[in-house]
Amino acid sequence: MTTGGPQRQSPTPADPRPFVVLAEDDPAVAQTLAPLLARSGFQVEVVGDGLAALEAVARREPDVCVLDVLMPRLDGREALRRLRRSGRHVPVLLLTEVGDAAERAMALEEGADDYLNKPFDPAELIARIRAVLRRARPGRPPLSAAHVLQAGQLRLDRVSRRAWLGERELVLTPRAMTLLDYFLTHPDELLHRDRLLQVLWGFDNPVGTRALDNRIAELRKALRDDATAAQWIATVPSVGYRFVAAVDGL
Amino acid sequence: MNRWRVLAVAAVPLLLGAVAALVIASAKHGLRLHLSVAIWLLALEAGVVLAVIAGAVAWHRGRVRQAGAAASATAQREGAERAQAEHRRFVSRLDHELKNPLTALRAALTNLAAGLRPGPERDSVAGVDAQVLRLVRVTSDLRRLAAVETAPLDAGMIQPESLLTELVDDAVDLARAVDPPVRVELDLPRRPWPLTPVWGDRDLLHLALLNVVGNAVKFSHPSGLVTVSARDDLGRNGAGWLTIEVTDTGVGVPPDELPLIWEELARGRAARGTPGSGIGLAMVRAIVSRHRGEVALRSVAGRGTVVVFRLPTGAPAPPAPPAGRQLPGVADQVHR
Repeated sequence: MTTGGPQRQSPTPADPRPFVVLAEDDPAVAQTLAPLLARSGFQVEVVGDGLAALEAVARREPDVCVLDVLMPRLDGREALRRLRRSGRHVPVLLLTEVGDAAERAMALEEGADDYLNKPFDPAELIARIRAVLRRARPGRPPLSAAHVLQAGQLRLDRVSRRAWLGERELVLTPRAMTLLDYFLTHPDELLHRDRLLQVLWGFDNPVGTRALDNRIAELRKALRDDATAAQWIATVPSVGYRFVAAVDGL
Repeated sequence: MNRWRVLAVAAVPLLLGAVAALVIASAKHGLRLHLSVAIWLLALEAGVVLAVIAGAVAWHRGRVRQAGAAASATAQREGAERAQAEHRRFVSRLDHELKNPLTALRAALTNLAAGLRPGPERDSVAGVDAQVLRLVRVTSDLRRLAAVETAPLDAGMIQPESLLTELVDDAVDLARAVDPPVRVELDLPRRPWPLTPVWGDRDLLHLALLNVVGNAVKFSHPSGLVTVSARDDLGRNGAGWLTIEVTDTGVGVPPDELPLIWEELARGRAARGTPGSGIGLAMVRAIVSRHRGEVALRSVAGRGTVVVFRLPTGAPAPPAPPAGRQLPGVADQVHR
């Protein structure tokens, strides 16, 4: 099913709208998300499983892929792995059904550019797709696909989950490491406190945000960052944080 | 079957004696052993033999009873664990089944509202959206509970004073929202050495404590008083415990609601009209149980509530306390 235009086999070169492949097996979700995306300025092709998603990506080279995790034939996670193994760097947003922190970390390590827990705010889906598109570096692999990320003196090995500032290895708790990974794969993006808490916990609205403040303090201490003149993590008052250094994938 | 075995065991010495008698009788005729024994010694020997038999029987009965009790305690615990696991599976299936319909509903309502001009129709769509959001909150709360039950612990040694000072700082922020504000006080032991550190996940413990202190503030009367106090106790076998008490002078919990307060989505009559979904105490219980601690609540309706946390001190976490042990003096609702 294609909305936002007549059935086409390839994106119209003249159509400047970003092209989204949405893989979702639940017709109720697909039929409501497709018009939402179309109205928000995207061309959309809806497919019902992971294999169809791979086929659509090969055929139409979309700007972004939205993959549900639980799908028949081939689930979203395996589709993502196959995409990355075949060297396709199309940005991928996973629609997860799991709240487990380890599962979320895994999704990001497997090369997802972002993920969203169902049921999500429709406006949030649009915002995430736009953010992923802004981050995309045409012709170059996304930061989320890199094993090692570098920002100035800071180096993060995402596979072994170790980080160094110059020659000094950073001693971080597992949650601070997860947060650092998220910052480095989302540079120069305003990251809301709720979003960061979700990265850490899978919670939408936990009681208090002390857990986040403590992890930010831990990261700043390890990075010897000054909150008032941030070189790495800048505070956006009463909203959240932004990783301000430029990041490159190695 | 057991009775036959006892008979067989008893028959062995009898048979041995009979065989020995036969052998001796057939070997030499008239072989005799003449003994003279003082009667008092005979009585003493009989007493000793009877005492040994009575002791053996009592010891055996004790063993049987102990094994039975242990088996029934194990069966009870296993039964409770099975029921708990089944319940978790049900809650997770419920959460799972709600996700897609709610995702579709939210997107459909957004699409619908986008096509409507401001007016009564759009208002009613907004009304439906608000109800859908309530359901979304329930699923996200259930997910939160699942997360605290399964997330890997980021654990280390925690100094209770700093944990509780942070807690009270956050609670004071919550209490300011009440008009006139609720007072929150921290009461730490006055002595020249600090409290014994506890082993655990600081974020999770903070979350559990803030939930309880948050409830204390939420259900306090204006100008009420919430107190957080702590002490460390040396328990049985030298194992230490940190006891944290959160007391409030709020509305309290009626006795008929006490057994339900730790259940997911349980909300008391007093809670109607205050925000929340009733997942908080279930989450508190789950967090405390992951730290091998206990949490108990005692309440008098109209007077206030006391929540007592007990956490093992020292590192690594000492073994769990024996099953069935209750907090002295607080027997109403104990959860581990």
